[in-house]
Amino acid sequence: MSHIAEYKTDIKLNLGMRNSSLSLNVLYKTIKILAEEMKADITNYIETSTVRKEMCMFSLRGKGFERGIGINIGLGGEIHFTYYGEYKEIAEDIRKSFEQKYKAVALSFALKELNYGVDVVKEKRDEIILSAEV
Amino acid sequence: MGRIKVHIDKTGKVKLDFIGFRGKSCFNESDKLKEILAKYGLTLKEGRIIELKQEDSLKVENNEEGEIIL
Repeated sequence: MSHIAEYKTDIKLNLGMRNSSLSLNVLYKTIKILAEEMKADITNYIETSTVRKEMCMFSLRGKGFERGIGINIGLGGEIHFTYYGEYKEIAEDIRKSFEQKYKAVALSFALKELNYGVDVVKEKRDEIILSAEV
Repeated sequence: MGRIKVHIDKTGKVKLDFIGFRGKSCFNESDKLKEILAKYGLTLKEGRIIELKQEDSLKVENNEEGEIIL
């Protein structure tokens, strides 16, 4: 028998002592993938409109968002995106792409933990498809 | 054992296609996956589950584009 299950999802990093490194691994891998895809640099600060540096956990800086989009983790494990200036649209694009990729990375790690071999069948902005087989 | 095909669309919706699992074993696998995903900071909230007949399953597996068509 086969079944298809559709889920709504929430990303909230698990910051408990035992699992925080797992969540952070997924976070870092997701940011690396995003940076590669957007040809952006990963740093740890963004710039305000007066070119003052503001520290953050990670930031992506690239063409069209030179002052950077900051990525921080809230106390409850939620992800915040921070920016100054006119980056609203690009920040929203990055947030959506981040969410999609984070889920793909987390699912890939979890399936590997269940001893599946995981392949990426298709990876585009509109859809990511993974195939997992024991 | 079976195969799991994962679709994540641009809105972040996750669709899992469990192919070739015996009986209700796909439900156990789905539960295990949810448990592990929680450690990685991802919560799957119960959505829609569609059981497929054998012929539907074959149709999914044989699709050349690797897409699921229901």
